[in-house]
Amino acid sequence: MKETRRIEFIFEIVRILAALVIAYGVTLLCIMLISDNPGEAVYMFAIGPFTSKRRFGQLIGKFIPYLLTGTGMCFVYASNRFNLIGEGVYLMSGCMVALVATQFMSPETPHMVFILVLILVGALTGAAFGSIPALLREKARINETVVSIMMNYALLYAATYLVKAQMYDTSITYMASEPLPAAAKLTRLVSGSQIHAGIFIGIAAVIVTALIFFRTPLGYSIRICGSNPKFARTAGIGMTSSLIAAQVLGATLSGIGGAVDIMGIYDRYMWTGLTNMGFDGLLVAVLSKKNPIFVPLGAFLLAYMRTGAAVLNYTTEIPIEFVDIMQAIIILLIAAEHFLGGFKEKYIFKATKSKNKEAAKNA
Amino acid sequence: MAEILRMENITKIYPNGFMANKDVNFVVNEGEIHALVGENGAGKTTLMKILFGMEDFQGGSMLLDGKPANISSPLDAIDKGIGMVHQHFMQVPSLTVAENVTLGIEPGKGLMFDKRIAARITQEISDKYQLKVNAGERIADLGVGLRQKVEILKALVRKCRILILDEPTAVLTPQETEELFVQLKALKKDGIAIIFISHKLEEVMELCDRVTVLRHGRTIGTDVIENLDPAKISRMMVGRDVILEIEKEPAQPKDIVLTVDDLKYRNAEDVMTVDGISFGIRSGEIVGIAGVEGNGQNEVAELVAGIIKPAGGTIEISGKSIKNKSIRKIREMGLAYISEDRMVYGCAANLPIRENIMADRIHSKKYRKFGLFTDTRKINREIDELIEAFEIACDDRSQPVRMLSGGNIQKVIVAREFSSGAHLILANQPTRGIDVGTTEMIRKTLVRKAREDGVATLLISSDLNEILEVSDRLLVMKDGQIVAHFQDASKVSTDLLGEYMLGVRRMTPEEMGDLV
Repeated sequence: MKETRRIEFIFEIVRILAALVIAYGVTLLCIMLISDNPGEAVYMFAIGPFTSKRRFGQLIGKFIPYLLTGTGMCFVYASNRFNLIGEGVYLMSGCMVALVATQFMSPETPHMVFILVLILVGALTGAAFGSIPALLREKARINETVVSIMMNYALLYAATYLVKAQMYDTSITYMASEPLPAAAKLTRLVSGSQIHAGIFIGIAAVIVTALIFFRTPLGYSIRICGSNPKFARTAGIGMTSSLIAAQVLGATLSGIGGAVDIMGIYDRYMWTGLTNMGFDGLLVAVLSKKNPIFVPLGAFLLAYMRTGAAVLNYTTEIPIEFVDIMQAIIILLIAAEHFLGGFKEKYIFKATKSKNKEAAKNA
Repeated sequence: MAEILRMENITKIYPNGFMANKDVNFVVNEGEIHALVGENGAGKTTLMKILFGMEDFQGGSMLLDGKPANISSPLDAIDKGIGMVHQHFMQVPSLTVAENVTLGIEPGKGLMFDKRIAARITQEISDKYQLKVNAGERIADLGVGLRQKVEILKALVRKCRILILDEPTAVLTPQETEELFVQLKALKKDGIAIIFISHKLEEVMELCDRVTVLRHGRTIGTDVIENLDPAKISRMMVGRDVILEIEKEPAQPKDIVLTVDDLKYRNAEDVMTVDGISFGIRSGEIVGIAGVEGNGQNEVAELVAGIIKPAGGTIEISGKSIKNKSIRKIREMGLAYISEDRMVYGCAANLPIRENIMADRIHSKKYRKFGLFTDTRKINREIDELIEAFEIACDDRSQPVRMLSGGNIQKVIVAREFSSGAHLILANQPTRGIDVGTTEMIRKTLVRKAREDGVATLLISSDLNEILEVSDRLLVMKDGQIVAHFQDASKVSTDLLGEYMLGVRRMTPEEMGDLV
């Protein structure tokens, strides 16, 4: 049986690599078809993110919030609930952080205190709004996907309203909040790039999530509930509380993600459309196979793809939508259980057969 | 007699690496009843699923009438003259016998379905083979025996020449079994080859012409019935003389642990499936509930485990009612529950052995460290001890349960339930579909737990051998009611038990005596 597990593991890796290769192949083909200068485009897309400090910084700037929304979505995904509130609370947390930082706190507040307060604001915003679809689902059996998607729009417009009513900066020509005080910003670790101190918060989130997942009764409960709810119930696991906790914790992490993003990269709150960071968190969770330990890998991969797309977009004439095609293919192939499944079965068959032959020889 | 089917060196490996068939050889002649025997998990059903086109196979070949045949689907199999009667009937209960028999081959013009022709075809074939059914009756109104006849008719109407019967007598009464055998012998005279899968060796001896024995996915041998006797077949099946008897000392019942009083349950279809039953179980004794499946036994188990809520009556564990208690609370009151469907209620297949065993006790303070975290070292040590004690064949504790064989999955489940420190064990079909070794281990552990640790045990099983060997006292359920009570299960004959199970006999309350 050990052989079986080894083959399953190798095939998991091979499958992800094959998915990447196929997706890249399709995208590259598209680029070559529509671009006047395909060589340049391919280079920008594949190597672009690593060609300058600024571009690599951009990659890390996306990687940091992905760590947070990715671990958050790991909670949601592992509990087998399709709750997408992470998208809405991401921008609402950013908005609340800006509101508290510009309206309620003195710019003279010490840096560390300021940062901690704002992260707390982000976390509480996430938990508060995240608990709504979770409670409705677990207490009243109302579909969490519908509620969370509707709430995402409600949160978007509520945030826009808050900007207009409470912190609109009339001195600029676009709609945004007043600028954040310097003390509220996360330290840039590399000057001239978007690499900021939020990365430590992201890494901490990965570690804490992994600990909760594998080292606490709550983590055991969430994983068992998500894997087989009927069994969880029969074994006497408190399903309602575990599932609410999973969804609220997920939203909390997304909330921290929004807060860290605003404090790390932006001067002011200026999101007037959905950021997609929450949805991307789900992609990260899928890429990491709902295991928080693999979230850094999944987050980096997605950040790299997104940055490559952005670089391609502003260095060539190719529209960013092409990258969406590629991402869709990758997610499809990785999520599809049976992609390459036939090969896997053949290998397992061969391995088991040869093992049996050896056993027969020895006997 | 001409050879009709030859399966050569058939090898089947499931995606989880489990090798169900290894170079199996199986030959059937025209006009014979060929028994395919072997213990649970020996690969009989897999082999038949391959023959019927339900599973593909990785090695070997199949010949029909001496010509290579490739059977790609059940539809293809039916086309080639193979019929299968599954353990679970494939029927539409709301339709009539004739409609079921002609389902998929409906007679009539164009899109019109001619019920009269369907009824005529059904009646003709039913008369021809002496399988008496009423073509106009609805399936839902028929008993199991008749429904099985309909299943055989379905195959015959499609002109099958090879008829596979997967444990056909498991659901039948002894009287119905007799009738079936007469009909099968008639079919044989018409040249139909019958493959008869069974565990019951007396039946094989009575009915069959030849026997093929499978063990652990391999063919052990094929022989004509004249050269065999039950002891010989049983030795071929298990490779040793099985001690089917469980040795146990007489029970010494002490305090009452479980009290069930006037328990009622109404199911989703508004049928009273548990209809006012009362009984008690004392510490140190094993009480069995026998009965044909679907007479309320499973509901009793789920009611006591708190999974479904009663429509009336009370359940008390050690004198405390379980009413309005969560399943966790009921488990904390001392209940352990081995459920009937192990893959649905017994484990989380994608999670490791460790998580599966910890599932019922993860909230216990015993496994905490620093108040909040789990004591991983202690958990790992205990899990390893359980893996060793219950001889779970696995790589290590972190192997996902889905990669284990059925018997080993059940070992994981019983390891959890037997180690939870419960003083009331509810074992619902604990050995269904698993190998003899594991079965023996589970039965012995049930007895040991009762005798040594004074555990009160409720055993629900449709395996008569199990229920008679393991139980101290025995209850029989029929239509949601208790119809018989035996103080000493070992003194009950299967014939007598069968009559109570089928409702031929029924004890008066005086005859039953005190059910505690």
